[in-house]
Amino acid sequence: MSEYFSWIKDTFYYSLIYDDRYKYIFIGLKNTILIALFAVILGVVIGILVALIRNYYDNNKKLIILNFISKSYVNIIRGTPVILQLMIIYYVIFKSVDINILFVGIIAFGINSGAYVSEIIRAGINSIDKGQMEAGYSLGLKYGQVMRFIVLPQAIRNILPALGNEFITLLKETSVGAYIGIIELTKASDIIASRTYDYFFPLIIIAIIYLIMTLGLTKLVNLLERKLDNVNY
Amino acid sequence: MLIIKGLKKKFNKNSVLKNINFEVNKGDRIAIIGPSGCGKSTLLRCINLLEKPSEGSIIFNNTNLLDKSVELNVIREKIGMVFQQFNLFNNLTVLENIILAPTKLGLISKSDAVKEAKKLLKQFDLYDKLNNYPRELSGGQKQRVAIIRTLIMNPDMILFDEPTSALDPEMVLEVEDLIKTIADENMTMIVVSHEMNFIKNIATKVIFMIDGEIVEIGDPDTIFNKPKDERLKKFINLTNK
Ligand SMILES: Nc1ncnc2c1ncn2[C@@H]1O[C@H](COP(=O)(O)OP(=O)(O)O)[C@@H](O)[C@H]1O
Ligand SMILES: [Mg+2]
Repeated sequence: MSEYFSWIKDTFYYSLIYDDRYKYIFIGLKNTILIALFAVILGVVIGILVALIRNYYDNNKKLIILNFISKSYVNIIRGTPVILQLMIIYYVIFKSVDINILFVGIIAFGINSGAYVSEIIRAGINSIDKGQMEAGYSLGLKYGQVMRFIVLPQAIRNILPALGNEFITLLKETSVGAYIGIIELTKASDIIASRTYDYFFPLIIIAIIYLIMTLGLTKLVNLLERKLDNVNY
Repeated sequence: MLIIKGLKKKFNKNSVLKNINFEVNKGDRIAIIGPSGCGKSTLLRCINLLEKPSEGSIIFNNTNLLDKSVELNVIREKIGMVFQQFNLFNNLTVLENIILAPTKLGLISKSDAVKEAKKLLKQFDLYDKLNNYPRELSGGQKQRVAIIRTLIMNPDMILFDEPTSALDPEMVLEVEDLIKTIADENMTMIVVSHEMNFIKNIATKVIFMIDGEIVEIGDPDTIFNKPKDERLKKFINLTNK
């Protein structure tokens, strides 16, 4: 028993305290959050754009080329592994450019997220009764006004919780960034383990950190969902 | 005011309107009757171009609505539409529902719109619902708000698509009374309805449709008391039962 305790003490010491190794975890956590946060923001911007182009096309049969590009983008992103997308963006597109690797991660995960976000927004828009749009049109409002004042304010109730879930997914997916050398949480634990030759403790630590973040966020999303259910319409 | 010539509408291969022709003059109140699925809603929706006609022409105030250069939204400001399912904006209060279009389109200032909306709400006994959301209203109240929402636009013509069909029986009258009031003020309108007494009461002309075609047009007295077409006779007998 005492042997067991002393092993825990040692592995804790060498994984985190010795040589200030805990700093890797901090850096990793910071980068994981940074990438996920900015990627989801980029994803939302792309997602809104793509969703509106596709919805506009569905309604008016205009913007044919933009719609084709948008649809292809969504299909390609959803049809290929995120790690492949990351590698293509890093090794092919940014190959000869001197660029911060975090930035590459944000771009790659943002582009990836945009496809999923656009589907979330599209589903949100489509969940609103068509009669709402038609009533808006029949009063002389234009597509943009109908979207802005009538459809999106209603759709947001379905969209926001789903976006929260998308952020949670993204938070976990950033671990793939380790593959191109981004020091996010997973890579941080890997660095520590490669020094101590002990994988157990670093991996458990970051697993707990991921869990705390995702469970906490899930709680927040549920709270938001309940709040939105109580809105007066 | 409105001339419809050779209007056809197909959904894929399915011909829903086959060669519709009629005219609406200022002050006309046209009722459209006919069995379910004969194309009444589609016809109304073609007139304000919620559906795109496949062929023909719709001349409204001397403009062919099917010309590519026509600005649809400007035309629609002048053609009100009242839907069977009300379609009030769920995220907006009664007052906001009414003033949204005229203010966002820059037709009147917000304060004038509010003043006008309040006047109409008072006139039609809905003033105490001003700040309620649609889900807090009865069906009859919703439909009356929807009608006020089109009235504030000052339309040249209002299209009613079965305005009382989705209502509980005890609320039909309050909506019909409101429409009657507008009719008495000489509003031009096209009304699709199954309420024959109401039609006799307000219509200046009745159109009977079957299967995407107009079978008979006439004044209410002729249509209801001296129908020529056998199918119309049958239809009127059925609805009288
Ligand atoms: N958007 C649509 N797509 C395909 N078919 C439609 C559509 N709208 C209406 N129809 C068809 O057109 C016919 C006429 O419908 P409608 O105009 O709603 O009839 P009514 O209002 O007289 O009951 C029906 O057979 C209906 O199924
Ligand atoms: Mg109908």
